[in-house]
Amino acid sequence: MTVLTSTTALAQAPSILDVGDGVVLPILLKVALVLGLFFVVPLVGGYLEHKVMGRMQNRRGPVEAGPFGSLQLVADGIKFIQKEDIIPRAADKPMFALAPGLALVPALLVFLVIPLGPGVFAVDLELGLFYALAITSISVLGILLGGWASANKFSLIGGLRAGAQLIAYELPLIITAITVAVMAGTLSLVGIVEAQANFTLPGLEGFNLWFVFPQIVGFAIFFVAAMAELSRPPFDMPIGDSELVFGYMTEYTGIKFAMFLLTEYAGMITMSALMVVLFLGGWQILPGVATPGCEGAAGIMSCDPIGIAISVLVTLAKIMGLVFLMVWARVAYPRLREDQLQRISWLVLVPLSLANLAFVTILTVVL
Amino acid sequence: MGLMDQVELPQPVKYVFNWGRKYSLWCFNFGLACCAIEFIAASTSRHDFIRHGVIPFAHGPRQADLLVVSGTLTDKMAPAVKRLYEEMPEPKYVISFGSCANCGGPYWDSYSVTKGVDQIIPVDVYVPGCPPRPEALLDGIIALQHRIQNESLKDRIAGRRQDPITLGADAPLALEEGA
Amino acid sequence: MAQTSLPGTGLLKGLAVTVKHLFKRPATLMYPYERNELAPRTRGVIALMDENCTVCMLCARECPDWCIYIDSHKETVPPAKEGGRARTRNVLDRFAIDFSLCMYCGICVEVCPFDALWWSPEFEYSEYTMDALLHEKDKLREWADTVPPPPALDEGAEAPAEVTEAIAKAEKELEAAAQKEADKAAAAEAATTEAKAGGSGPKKADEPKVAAGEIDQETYDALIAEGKSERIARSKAKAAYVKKEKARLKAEADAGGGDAEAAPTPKAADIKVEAGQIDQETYDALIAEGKTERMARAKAKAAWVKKEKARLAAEAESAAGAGAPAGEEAEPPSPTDAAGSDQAPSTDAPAEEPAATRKLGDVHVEGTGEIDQETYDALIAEGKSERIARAKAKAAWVKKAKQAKLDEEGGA
Ligand code: SF4
Ligand code: SF4
Ligand code: SF4
Repeated sequence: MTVLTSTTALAQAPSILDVGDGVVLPILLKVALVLGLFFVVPLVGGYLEHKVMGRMQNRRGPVEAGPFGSLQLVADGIKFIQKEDIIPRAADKPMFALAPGLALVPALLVFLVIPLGPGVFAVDLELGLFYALAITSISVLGILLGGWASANKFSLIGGLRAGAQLIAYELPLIITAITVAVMAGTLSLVGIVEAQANFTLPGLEGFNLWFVFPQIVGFAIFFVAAMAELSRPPFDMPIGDSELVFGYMTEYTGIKFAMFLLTEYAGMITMSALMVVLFLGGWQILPGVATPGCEGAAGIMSCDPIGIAISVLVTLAKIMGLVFLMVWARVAYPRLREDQLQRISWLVLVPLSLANLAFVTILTVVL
Repeated sequence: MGLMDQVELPQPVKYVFNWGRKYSLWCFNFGLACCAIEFIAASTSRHDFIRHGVIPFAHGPRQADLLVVSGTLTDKMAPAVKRLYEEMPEPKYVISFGSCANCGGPYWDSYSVTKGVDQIIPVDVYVPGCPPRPEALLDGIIALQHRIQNESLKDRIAGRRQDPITLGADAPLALEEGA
Repeated sequence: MAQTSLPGTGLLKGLAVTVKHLFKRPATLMYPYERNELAPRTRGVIALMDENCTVCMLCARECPDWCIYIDSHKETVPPAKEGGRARTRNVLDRFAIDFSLCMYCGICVEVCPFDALWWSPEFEYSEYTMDALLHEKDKLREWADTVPPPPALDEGAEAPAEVTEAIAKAEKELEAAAQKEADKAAAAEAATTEAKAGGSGPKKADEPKVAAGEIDQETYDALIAEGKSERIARSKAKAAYVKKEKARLKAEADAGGGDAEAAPTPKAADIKVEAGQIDQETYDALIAEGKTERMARAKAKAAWVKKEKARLAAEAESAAGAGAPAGEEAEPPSPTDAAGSDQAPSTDAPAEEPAATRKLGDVHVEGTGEIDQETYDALIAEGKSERIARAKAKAAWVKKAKQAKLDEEGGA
């Protein structure tokens, strides 16, 4: 896909990684960016989760592995690659082996379109939002497959629950994303950030706002639906260990299990990043505040290196803030029941998001 | 796995690998009696063994690295323990926590109690007590981590293949080496 | 959530609680670096003071798990005095507790009559193998050094009997010294008076006898003047005479007793104090403390006896110029004394006793790991393991050293 960026109409804003005239160097740089994001940021998120969860429970969390326990997840990773790889005899072996990869690769691919700063992205697709939502939905295929291929009743139930949960929560998630796209008038993630930097409410011209302010309901729906999509507690019925051992992951060991785990943490990061882009102004520091070192539109584009660095840090900080919120919810709330979960989605979130979409669309057309 | 139990790794790699195993002990608790309460106490805020990288309550045996048998193992339960132990992927470690798990303890002459969990699975560290303090478990975990840091995975797996049960008895390390 | 509150407040409350804890100081104890303050009587591990152990086997027999292993042998101790009887005693060869089996019930500690077993709060003795949990005498002895002193008493609690006794003893000694001074002064005075009186009059040491028939003129005259009949006045005057005379004689005798102090002193063993008197001071103090009358009386009686004995002994001592410390023998053996807190697990616990009663076990030898080469070689030759041979040889060395010390003392 990256090969096509410079030639097709899909590409919009240029990435700063498009250096020189060659094809190989930009590709290498982009792969490095995506892989770096994929392997480092989720670990930071995981560490944050360990620590925040610990402190909220009056504990300290990991302290022995590395300084302040910061290498805990690295140690986990090193351990997982040494573990024995067990495949149950009754399992569908090719599918069993394929499932974690099927879950993991989409989580990796989403990072292609996540903009961290002005020009700091692998590719800016015109249908970026559509692409991100479509790709994240593939992950559940891996989960479903894993649950079925394990030849284990707990795995199967877990996988089916994950499927049901995804269908239920994908709907409000996508409707809310469409609402934002309607407001921004574009599906490009960079475009949405830019649109937010220029967004004002009618009657309040000159007063810049992020979409989260007019769309607080949409943000709440998106946040809840994102947590449910990721099977994060309190929506972790698919791996509910009091009923299902470990759900679809029950039979997975070692590196395959680690891939599922990494999918979950990477999902946390990508969903947070999407929320940052859709609702929290992307890399803009505060609504209406221009980033130092930037001069382009709304003071957030065409930046010098310092401005880029600041933008990236701002984005990462916002992502971590949202991860913190997810952990907070995890610590505060007990797991829901399966029927409660479905009811919340179909009876609350879906109607709410539909009404929200209708309202915004009408307003946009009228004004 | 795979190659790792066939070849002796070069020292730096071995060090890093051992370090990873040492600080990532996903713990599967087999709480069978009173000692389980002390085990739970060791996982609470006060003692918090996550500090040492012991992530408590791995959901199932497939994800666990460390099996802590805490409590009275009855003959009826023994097959379950053995089975769950065998479901754990190598390299796996076992801590026997408390007198009952060590060798029957107060039930040494009971008709229905297995006299020690090491009769059915190999044990790496024995924690004495009835019940041991939560800190005693932490001490046992630190002893185990010391052992992991200094072990050779190849030797361990090879030893396991020969004689699965007596691994503990002629273990290459002794506590005197300084935990 | 109450019916009236807005929907969602419960959710917010949950968030508020968790975020509050985020900023609290974690309750975690950083174990290997930080340790709990353990209660002094924590049941961590059982320590053995092998000097105290008489191999009575009570602990091994009472242990519900049968996890104490004791080996011993008999030894003949030569008679302490010429012509005495040789005695046998048990010598501890092996004392091991299997901590993999022990249920930490504490029965052995409870039951040991010689305070050889103690609870130590040590708990860090996890092992890689189970047989390493069988700890032998040397290891158990090492733990004995970690036994904490008994906890301090609550504020305002009654002091333990042995402490009060010790204080009382010291006070009595001081008092006795003062008393002695006073007695001396009184005796000197009495002697001078006696000399002045010219030594006349009946002077009998024992039961004063007064010649009958004499009457007390003074009393007679007074009674006659009162208008009593002659007969009555005479008889009463007679009685009065007898009384007066007896009192006089007694006073003289007392003075003589005071005098006698300079003469050969009574031996310590001769000190006998009549019971039945009470020490008023102690009595009052105990009553004031709210003790029952019965207990106060009993204690006061004991105090009186002790005081008196102490006084007499002090006198005897001052007369003889030497002797055992006052009150040492007189003190009734109190059961709490045996468990004396101060002599808990310190290495010099066995109290020094008179040489006549010294046995092998009373001699304390500081072993620093020396072994008896002979025993060691013999055991190795027998095919024992190195570890066992070393342990036994150590024990043999200690035994030999003890014997040597004992012989030395006997010779001196
Ligand atoms: S060792 Fe003691 S505390 Fe532990 S399970 Fe057995 S009886 Fe209970
Ligand atoms: S504590 Fe109880 S079980 Fe342990 S050695 Fe003493 S008597 Fe035996
Ligand atoms: S430890 Fe105490 S009870 Fe046991 S044999 Fe020695 S003296 Fe007797």
